[in-house]
Amino acid sequence: MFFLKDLSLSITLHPSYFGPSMHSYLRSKLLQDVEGTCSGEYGYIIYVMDGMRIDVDKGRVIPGSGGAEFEVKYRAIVWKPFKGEVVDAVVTSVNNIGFFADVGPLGVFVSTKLIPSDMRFDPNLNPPAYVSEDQTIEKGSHVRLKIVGTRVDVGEMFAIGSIKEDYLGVL
Amino acid sequence: MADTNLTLPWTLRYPITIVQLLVATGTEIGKNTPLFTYRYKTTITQTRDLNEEIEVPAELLAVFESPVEGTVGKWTIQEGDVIEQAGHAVVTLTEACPHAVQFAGMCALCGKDLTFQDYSGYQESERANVKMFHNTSGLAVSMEEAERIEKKSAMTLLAARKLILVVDLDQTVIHTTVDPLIGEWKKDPTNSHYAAVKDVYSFSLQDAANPRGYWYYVKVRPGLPEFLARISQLYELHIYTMATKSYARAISKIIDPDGKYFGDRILTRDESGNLEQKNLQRLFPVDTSLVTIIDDRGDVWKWSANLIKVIPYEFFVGIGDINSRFLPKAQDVKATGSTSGGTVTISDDADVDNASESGDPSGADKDHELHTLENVLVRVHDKYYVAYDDRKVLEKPVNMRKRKRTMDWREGLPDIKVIMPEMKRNVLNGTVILFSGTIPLGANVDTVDVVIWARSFGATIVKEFSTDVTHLVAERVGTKKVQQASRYSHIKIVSPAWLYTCLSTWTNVPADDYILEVPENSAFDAEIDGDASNDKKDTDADDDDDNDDDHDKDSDRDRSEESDDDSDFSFDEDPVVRSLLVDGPVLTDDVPVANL
Repeated sequence: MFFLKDLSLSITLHPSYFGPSMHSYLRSKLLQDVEGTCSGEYGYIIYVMDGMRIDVDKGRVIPGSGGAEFEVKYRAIVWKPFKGEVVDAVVTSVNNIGFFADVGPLGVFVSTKLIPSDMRFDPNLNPPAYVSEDQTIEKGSHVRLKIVGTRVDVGEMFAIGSIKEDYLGVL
Repeated sequence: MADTNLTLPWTLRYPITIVQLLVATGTEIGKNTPLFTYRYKTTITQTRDLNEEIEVPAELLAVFESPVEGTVGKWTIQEGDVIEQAGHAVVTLTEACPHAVQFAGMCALCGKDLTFQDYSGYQESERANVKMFHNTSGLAVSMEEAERIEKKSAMTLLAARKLILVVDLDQTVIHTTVDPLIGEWKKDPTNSHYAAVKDVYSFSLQDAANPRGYWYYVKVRPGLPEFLARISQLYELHIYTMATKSYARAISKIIDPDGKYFGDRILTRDESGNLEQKNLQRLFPVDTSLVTIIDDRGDVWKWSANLIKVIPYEFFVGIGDINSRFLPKAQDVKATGSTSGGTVTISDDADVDNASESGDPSGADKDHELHTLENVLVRVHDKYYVAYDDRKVLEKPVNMRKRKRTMDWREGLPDIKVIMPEMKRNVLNGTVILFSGTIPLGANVDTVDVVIWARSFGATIVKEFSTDVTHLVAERVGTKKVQQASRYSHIKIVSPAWLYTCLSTWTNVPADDYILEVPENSAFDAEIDGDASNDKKDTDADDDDDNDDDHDKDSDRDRSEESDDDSDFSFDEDPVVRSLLVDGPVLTDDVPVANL
């Protein structure tokens, strides 16, 4: 699910950056550091909004080092997948125990147990695919799936998906 | 829903005595619910008289908790039972999900996070510890699930009358170099090497260390497209290479542009989990009875029974395998250099000059290995399915009996691991081979590739000359062993090409085409002199190129005493006289007249 979220990041700056372009430097550093990252708490930070209105506080010189710490407040679009959420995905690889699909940055695995039983794996097709009478799931197919479990690792997330329900499957 | 047999872990102190069962059949239990209490024997430390510590035996009571949740089924233990060791079945639990397929720490069936750890030390993630998939790390299955999957794919293969072929890339089906000279030659049609390299493929790969990318130049082994087209009818093809994923992908685009032979079945060092060895269990954890391997390296497979060793393909002379950086050093470089088609490749002068400087295509590409390999693979396939059809007839009455359900499907099926070694053993059965000038001095004969290879074909390899020898494989004719062997008409003195032809075609080819012409005896003289003086001085090191071991030379010396005596007393400077003298004992030993 997508959220608009007010977040903040503290950035430490070396004194050599103190000067007229300090704010633009802080902004680009912020974008570099947070956009595209993933944390367990908020999920993926997709986009930092309102590039010009990022709120940089006055900053505090750190005693002993000469650098300064800035608290940067920003608003971002975050995406966190939830158990039970239905999402659209692109199939990336198919094997005999299921298929992998990408939901944007999230890798999802759908095992054969969670694929309708009328879809059978055919290894002799090129590329290999799950086929039923009217549907084919192969590399590159678009599918709608339901997330049945997620797990957060350091800097990445994984999910288990299911297409064994009504209105799920190939789009 | 699945029934799980709960077995005792190795962490308990055996033997244990069951005291009391705490839950009844039909109860639903959660994780860490106490299942039973048991007694175990141990020693405990007690303090006596303030500072004296003594160990006393004690019997303690403990509680065993269920590692998983489910519904209790049938108990297979009773109160009072004594259990001697781990692995004993305790109770059947009906689990909602056995977590048999796991992806990135989650159960792929129910979505539960299985990395959760608690005080019991039991890890759900260990239930699926078999990684058997080509291209995806993080996906694992339990042994039971692996067996189910393999059974299914084996049945599909048997129905389609196919086997599995695991293909190595570098020096087996292609040869790659990174020498930029090749690129220059390729670009320039006027270059004298243009014809040789014009069908060399090239691609560049980038990585973090080298953002501009390396250019790779790939020569496909002659006949590969035809080989793959025909063999893919009989075999399901897999790639198993020690190269990186991106390299393997690029190569598979060259040799299999449509992906119809290999598909996604590519395993590389990025996923294999071992940089030095290749392991069939990585892909086929349960059953390898349908699997054959082609590879130019036997050692990385530990000379597996499924292996068909091929003669390395070396188009760019001296480059070797660019992806063998992590592998143990390859042996046999010398022996394999001259094996294309059984004849030594004669390059023109310009090529020879260049070859010494850089990796240079060795003139005409006369490699026929894939053709012979195809014949071998067809024969193995035929043999397997003949055995398979025979088995079908026999199996029916066996099937009537009640048997254990596990492993059932593999019983009575033919096994490549039995069929192939048997076919190989018959090839050179009864031949006794002695090497001369082929194996480096000081090498342990038993670990040399060609020796292990020839032995797997039933040949007997001896280290020292004896009259049992049937074939002397000699790199050149000037050695002592050649001289010894030339006195016996039944010993065939052949070039290594004979042996390699036998090994790659799986037939005992007649040696006649490979007989080394033993020249007029002048060539021996130096050799004999050397040997004779050697014997006289009894030096430790054997100056000869052969890998003679000195300690078992005595018997050898007795036999050749006669000839040594002859040459000993007459170090005549006149070559005519000397050759006559040398001829003396040779004549008495029935050497064919042709040799004189």
